[in-house]
Amino acid sequence: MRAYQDMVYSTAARLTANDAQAEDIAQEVFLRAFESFAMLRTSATAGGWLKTVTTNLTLNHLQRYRKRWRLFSELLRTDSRDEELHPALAALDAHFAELDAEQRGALVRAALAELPAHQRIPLVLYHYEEMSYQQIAERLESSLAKVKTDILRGRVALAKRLAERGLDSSAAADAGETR
Amino acid sequence: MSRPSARAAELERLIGRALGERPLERAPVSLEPRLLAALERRALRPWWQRGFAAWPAGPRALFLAGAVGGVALLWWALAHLSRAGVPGQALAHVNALLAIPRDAGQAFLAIGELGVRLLAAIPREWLYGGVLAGAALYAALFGLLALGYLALYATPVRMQRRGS
Repeated sequence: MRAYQDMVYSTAARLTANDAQAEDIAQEVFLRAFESFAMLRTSATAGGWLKTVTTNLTLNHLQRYRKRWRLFSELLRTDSRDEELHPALAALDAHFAELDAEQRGALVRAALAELPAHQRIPLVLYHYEEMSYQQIAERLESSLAKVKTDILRGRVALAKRLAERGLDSSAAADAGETR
Repeated sequence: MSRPSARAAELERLIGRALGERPLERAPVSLEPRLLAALERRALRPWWQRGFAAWPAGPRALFLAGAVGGVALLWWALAHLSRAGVPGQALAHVNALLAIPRDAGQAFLAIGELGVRLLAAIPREWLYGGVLAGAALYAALFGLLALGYLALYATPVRMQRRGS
């Protein structure tokens, strides 16, 4: 369990952006793993099994809430148009690179958690779970076009937030150095 | 200035790199004790609350024997009844059982007819007013939920972003 607990917890935490829910899901995953202990003990693909079960359980969990909130969340147009792409890219490239790995990790975690679920979930599935657009659309019971749009908008929103937070961190670091 | 598709590809690369650099998060220290406690609770459950595969051999054998015996008894009873002919009392019992859904269907039809008569008796203006009032209440509830979502769920982050 110890060998996989960080992976299982991270997978759930990235999708839910909620520590308590991620812990609940991780517990449920390991309970299921113990039920299949005989099979997993000798399996070379135990890690893959755990990751798949974690992703499925998390998505099922989120699906319940997604249905409830999708209508309202999609009323909020947090759209990012193409003209916003360029400044977001420039800012991300300029400021994000100045931070060290630990700072960047913390920034990514916080910025990702701020994204609305309908952007964060496909983004995480694409970049962390390495699912294709088509697979994400099927898994989320959504259209391919919507998944592509949500991922693109999610990336722009994330880039803007990372750039803003990067600026804040740089300013804080500079202030710390001048003191 | 680069084309939109090139910028989107560049953004994908940058975001992919940024997300890829994020290390695995450490599972909370409470996870292991929680899991062990949950496993202990599961282990303490009585056998009949577990899956069939986890039942002791005795109850499993009894259950299987009971199921096989039940099927055999039913088979024998059907064969016996078909040979002996269905007695009048049994036939009446079956008819009584079949009458239940038939009566229920008739009751539903009667209720539907009553509803139609009631609707016909209500003045048109009242009906239209009721429909309008229902629609207004629905819209008001929808608006309240949307406002609640904005105020409690969506607004803090958006406002924070705007303010920064």
